[in-house]
Amino acid sequence: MLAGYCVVTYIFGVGDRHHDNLMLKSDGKFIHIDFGFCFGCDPKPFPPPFKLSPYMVDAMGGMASEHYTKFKEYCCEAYNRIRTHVNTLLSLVALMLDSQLQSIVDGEKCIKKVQENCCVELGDEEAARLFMLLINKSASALFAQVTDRLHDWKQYWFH
Amino acid sequence: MTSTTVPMKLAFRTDSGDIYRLLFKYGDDVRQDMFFLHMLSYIDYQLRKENLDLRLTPYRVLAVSRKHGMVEWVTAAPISKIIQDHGNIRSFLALHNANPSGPLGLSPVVVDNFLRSCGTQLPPSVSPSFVCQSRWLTWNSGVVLRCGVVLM
Repeated sequence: MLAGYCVVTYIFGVGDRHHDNLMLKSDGKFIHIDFGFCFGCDPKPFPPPFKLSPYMVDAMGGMASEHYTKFKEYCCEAYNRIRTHVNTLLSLVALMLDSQLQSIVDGEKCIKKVQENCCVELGDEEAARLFMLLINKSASALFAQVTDRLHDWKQYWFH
Repeated sequence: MTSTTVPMKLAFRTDSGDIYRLLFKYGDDVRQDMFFLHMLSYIDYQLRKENLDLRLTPYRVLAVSRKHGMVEWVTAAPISKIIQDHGNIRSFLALHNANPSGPLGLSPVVVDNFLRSCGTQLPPSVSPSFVCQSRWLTWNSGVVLRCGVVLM
């Protein structure tokens, strides 16, 4: 869900996205919390490009619904608009390279990751097409569903 | 929500008589959260200037050391709990915003919030400090009090 967070978490390679880290307000606003894993770090193997679980697709009325189409349009628009600010974002990340944050182990790799995820060399239409592919990939990420289920069991047994 | 580090929930009364809630964390390094949320509020600020509102929620985080930090309290429920209690996301939203004539039986604003995903109508600030922002605090606590239910 939701367009804004899908795009932003994809660009910064935010990991560890499970159902305890995603929140929903009663007015429908969606929130991600806990950003302990960024720039492609993830405690679980084979993470999807971003979090789009079947529950979220279902809440939009399923993959065939007009809301899902609208969601994809928002995603592509947001992606292209954020791409225009990529240089500022990269400078901000570059400022943090010496900070010894837990996800910034190899500074160059972090910068490269953000650059890659923004696909700076692509035009708007190509980038939109690429993001559509990523949405489909995330929505059908079977492995992520398995790890989600495992995570739920773990929470159940240990808390 | 359970947490191994046992954060503390604090409530402060603001100048205007409202209540500002925050979570004080011990044992967690919130510096990275702080960095990411600055990025998020920067993106939100830029896109709003271009008239694209993605309804993001750049909540405030302030790290005071590598092991201590404060996080703004956001009134929301984790998806895992929603699924556990309501079965799916739509029935949770329908509980608060049912509208039989709207899309998916929900009020149109809520569906739009959900699709764009997330956020406040506040001017996001890149400043890590949330002291001296009493106008913002007033607005925020209003929302917290209106929402009422704390599901965390």
